[in-house]
Amino acid sequence: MVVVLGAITLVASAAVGGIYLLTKEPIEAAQAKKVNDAIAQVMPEFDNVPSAEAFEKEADGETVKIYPATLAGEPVGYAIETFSKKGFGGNISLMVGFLPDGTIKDISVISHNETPGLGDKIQKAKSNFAVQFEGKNPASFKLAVKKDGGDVDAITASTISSRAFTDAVARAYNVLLAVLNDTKVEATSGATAKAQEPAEPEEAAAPKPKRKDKGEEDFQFDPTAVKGALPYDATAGASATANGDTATQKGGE
Amino acid sequence: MTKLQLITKGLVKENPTFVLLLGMCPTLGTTTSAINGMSMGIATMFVLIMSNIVVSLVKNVIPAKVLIPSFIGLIASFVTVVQLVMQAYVPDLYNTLGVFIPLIVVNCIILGRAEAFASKHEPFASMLDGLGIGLGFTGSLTLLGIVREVLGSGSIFGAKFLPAGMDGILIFVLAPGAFIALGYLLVLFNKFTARLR
Amino acid sequence: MEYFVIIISAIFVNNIVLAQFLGICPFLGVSNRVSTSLGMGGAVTFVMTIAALVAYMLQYGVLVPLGIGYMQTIVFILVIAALVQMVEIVLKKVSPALYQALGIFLPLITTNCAVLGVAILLVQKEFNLAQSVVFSAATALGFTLALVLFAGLREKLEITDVPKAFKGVPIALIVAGILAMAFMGFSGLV
Repeated sequence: MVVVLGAITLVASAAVGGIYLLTKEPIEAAQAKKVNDAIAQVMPEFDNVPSAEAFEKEADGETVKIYPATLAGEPVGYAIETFSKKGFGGNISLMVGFLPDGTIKDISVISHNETPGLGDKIQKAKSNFAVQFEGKNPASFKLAVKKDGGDVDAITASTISSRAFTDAVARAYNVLLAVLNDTKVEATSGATAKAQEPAEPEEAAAPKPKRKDKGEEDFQFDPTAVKGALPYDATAGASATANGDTATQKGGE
Repeated sequence: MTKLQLITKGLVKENPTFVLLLGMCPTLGTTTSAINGMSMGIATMFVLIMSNIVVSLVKNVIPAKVLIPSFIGLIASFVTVVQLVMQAYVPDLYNTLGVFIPLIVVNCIILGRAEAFASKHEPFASMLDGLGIGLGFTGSLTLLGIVREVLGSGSIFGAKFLPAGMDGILIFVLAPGAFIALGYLLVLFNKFTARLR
Repeated sequence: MEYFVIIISAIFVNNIVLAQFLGICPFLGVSNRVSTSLGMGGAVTFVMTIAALVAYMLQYGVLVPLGIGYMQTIVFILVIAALVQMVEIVLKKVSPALYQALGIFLPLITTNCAVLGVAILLVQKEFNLAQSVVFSAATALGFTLALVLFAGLREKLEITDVPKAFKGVPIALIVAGILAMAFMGFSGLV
């Protein structure tokens, strides 16, 4: 009887193994398609293969993938596959598209486990929540829900999901800053990114004099860290992250 | 029992959800919309039909003592196949249904039919039995999904019929609505079948 | 603090029965008396915690290193089935008193989707070993809480005059719905 049980298990696992080999490629293709579709959605027109040029950055203990998009060799934006662990139903995974000046082009939800009818409104198909980020530059658009003193209108009755979404976008922005400056990624705490120095793309490429933000007391500026290609001072934002009001954001709901 | 009866009995007389009250977890957990409920029903039906056929084929080879473990192993294999195929071709649906797809393994309906029917009947009859019960399960889940989606999101199979800016009664999409909607459907079902008798 | 959040979330906010719909069969089946539901809850807590431990070790000790993550469902369910058998045998030998209290519930647990569900969830949520054990024990406590509360309500329901078509499971489901609504009040906690 042990023999029969063993034989059945063996045949069954062999069959499952076979199916696994058969479906392995389609599964990988489906996953790649999902990522590529998300990139295409959040990026302006490009002619390279961003997934082939993808690279990784460490952010809050996880690796985040960055997909650079170029048109005729010129960078047109970065699609960043970001995450938040603060969702109501678990992890939220987003693809956030940034233009080279840091402006958010578009955001696509890759996966989420939010409550249907409530938290799932983070998807563009379900509500206009994600639309409010488009065309905003986190340098001037504070990535936190209004309840926490930011600029993001939360979904009614889904503050947790809105916070998590915002947290993921803020993480993507920190990754972008790190990419542009070639530094390590700052920790993203709560659903907050501090107000950054407003970006002024028309002053591109020139290191700007220090300007003081209203809400930023411990603002630091390091001209040496500014890359030539950088249209605005990204270092300032990255280094101004550890501000005092993070503690108040954490508790919440 | 004729072949046709094998298929139709699952729809009303031996309906797994409304009469036998089996497989309640996916019934409540996946019916947030009609499409989700129907997909869950179809996935379960596939496993049910396949496991019924195979159990019926190997029923004489397996010693009685390891009958149940073997059945569980076979069912788990088919569930894994469903998981892999869904991941490959309908990844979004697979994500939505989440943990309930691997949990088809512990759906009492499947083990119940394997033991009560397939281990005593021929493969063809077992297949029809699986088809009938599976259709009944799919039908119930779709019905519950429609009720919850219509009341909860104001749409049917994803097509919204409420004017823009108007939402449904949200509670029906959330957990309490699942229990309450199923409870009232059972009441209606009882009323309906009592009149038939 | 991190463990505190996991515990509160697993017992109240994401209650396995009332919010996640796992373990509905015993929830409806064994909830007629408060005493039996306590026994069932105890047995589930026992098995679920051990199962989580075993599932964790299997996932990261066998399945991941061998690259056969897709065999998860098969391996988990067979191991849980074997585990339940083993717990039954060991309990009979070691603690007859405990066996007397929990024994009749043990065979029912193999097909309790909550046990397999928790094993799969803890892998999905990428918990470490300590988190997994805390999570599964807390989930089982949440299961017991829901079961006992519900049994208390059903004891009252039995002596209540409900319309004929509502008798039995339908009214039980509606009451469960109201209980779930009450549990939704916890959702702001974590």
